[in-house]
Amino acid sequence: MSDRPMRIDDGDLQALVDDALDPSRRDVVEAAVAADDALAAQLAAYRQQNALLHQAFDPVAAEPVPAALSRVATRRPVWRRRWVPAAVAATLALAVGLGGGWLLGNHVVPKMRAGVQFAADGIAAHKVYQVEVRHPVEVAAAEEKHLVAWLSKRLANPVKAPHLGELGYGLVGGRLLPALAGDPAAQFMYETGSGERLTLYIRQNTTEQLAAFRFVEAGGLSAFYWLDEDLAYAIVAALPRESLMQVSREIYRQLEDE
Amino acid sequence: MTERALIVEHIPSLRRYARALVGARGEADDLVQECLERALSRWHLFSPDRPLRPWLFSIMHNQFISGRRREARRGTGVPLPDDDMRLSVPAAQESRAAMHELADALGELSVEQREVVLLVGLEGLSYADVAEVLDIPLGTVMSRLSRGRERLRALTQDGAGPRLRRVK
Repeated sequence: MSDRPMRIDDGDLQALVDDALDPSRRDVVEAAVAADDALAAQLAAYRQQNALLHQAFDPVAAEPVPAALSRVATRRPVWRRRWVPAAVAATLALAVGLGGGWLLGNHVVPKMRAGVQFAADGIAAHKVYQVEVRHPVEVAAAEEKHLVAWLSKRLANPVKAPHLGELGYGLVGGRLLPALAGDPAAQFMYETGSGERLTLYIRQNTTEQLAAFRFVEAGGLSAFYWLDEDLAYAIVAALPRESLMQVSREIYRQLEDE
Repeated sequence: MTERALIVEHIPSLRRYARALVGARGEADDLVQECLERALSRWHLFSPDRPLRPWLFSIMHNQFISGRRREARRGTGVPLPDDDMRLSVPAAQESRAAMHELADALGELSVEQREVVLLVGLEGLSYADVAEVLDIPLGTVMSRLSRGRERLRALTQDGAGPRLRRVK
């Protein structure tokens, strides 16, 4: 093909720029580049690119690290100490669940566990607002920042609205609700493109009980809920258990994984 | 768990890479924060006999990509970064123009090419590490690198292409 004495390919040229050639090969490539003006110009341009990249961005690396970032890296992983046993329990609990139908009955079930009562409240709240067309939420997703800050303040704990876009759920918004004993509860509502709604119900965990990921269903609605030290969460939708589990795992991951 | 403190050492280069990748400072540091949080939450998955740096970059890559997907689905386009935000400090007068030009051009590369060009050219990762970080074959690393660099050259060469030059 070519009568050039040395054949080098583009990979050789890149590797020369990046100092990734072993010495014998480097000599060959350098000789080839020296004999070819076009290659020499290419090499010079690429080296110049790297130099400019460093010139442009090395100052960022030289800045003092913002406190918020170094805090993230050094703070103790409190959640994990708290959640490793819970996570193990969760995988077991996932297989169990609680049968239902009785949950939203008109009579109060005696000695109901705190978590189940909480989940029932979450389901009730879902029932009330899922049918709303004009006023499904109090504060719309457009004001997400405000919404989250407001609910965090009212619940006296940082709350988050998980992002579920990858699972097809967009945030509609949220609201504040009254819960038992005058405590506030928060609800985030999500919706699929076809209008199926899912709510995340949150309130302070005042029960001093913890609960790992558990499943309940009642009146055609399913819920996964858990109680951590500060907050209790219930995820409610009219979905079969398996589908709800998928979304719930993602929510759980986003809320507890930090 | 004292190894966790090792992560701190890598924050400066994670910030540098993030800034070059996404441009604006706030967004870049958000990305670093997500990356750190994710790394800590998955610390138990990290095997200590492997180098930490590529692992952190791979986490950042994944966070970056899933963030972009979220934005795309939500339809809120990421605003194109202003190059004055992209560059953090004023450089010497004579090279500032070339630097700005390169930073502009960087923003016009595809994300795939930009990542490879930056991981190799700015962060000095080996090709093999980049392949692992981005979870792509080595051959793909090489072709993205080659095309990315050539594109940058075309975008920054005087008189090449229809680019408007800034008048200052």
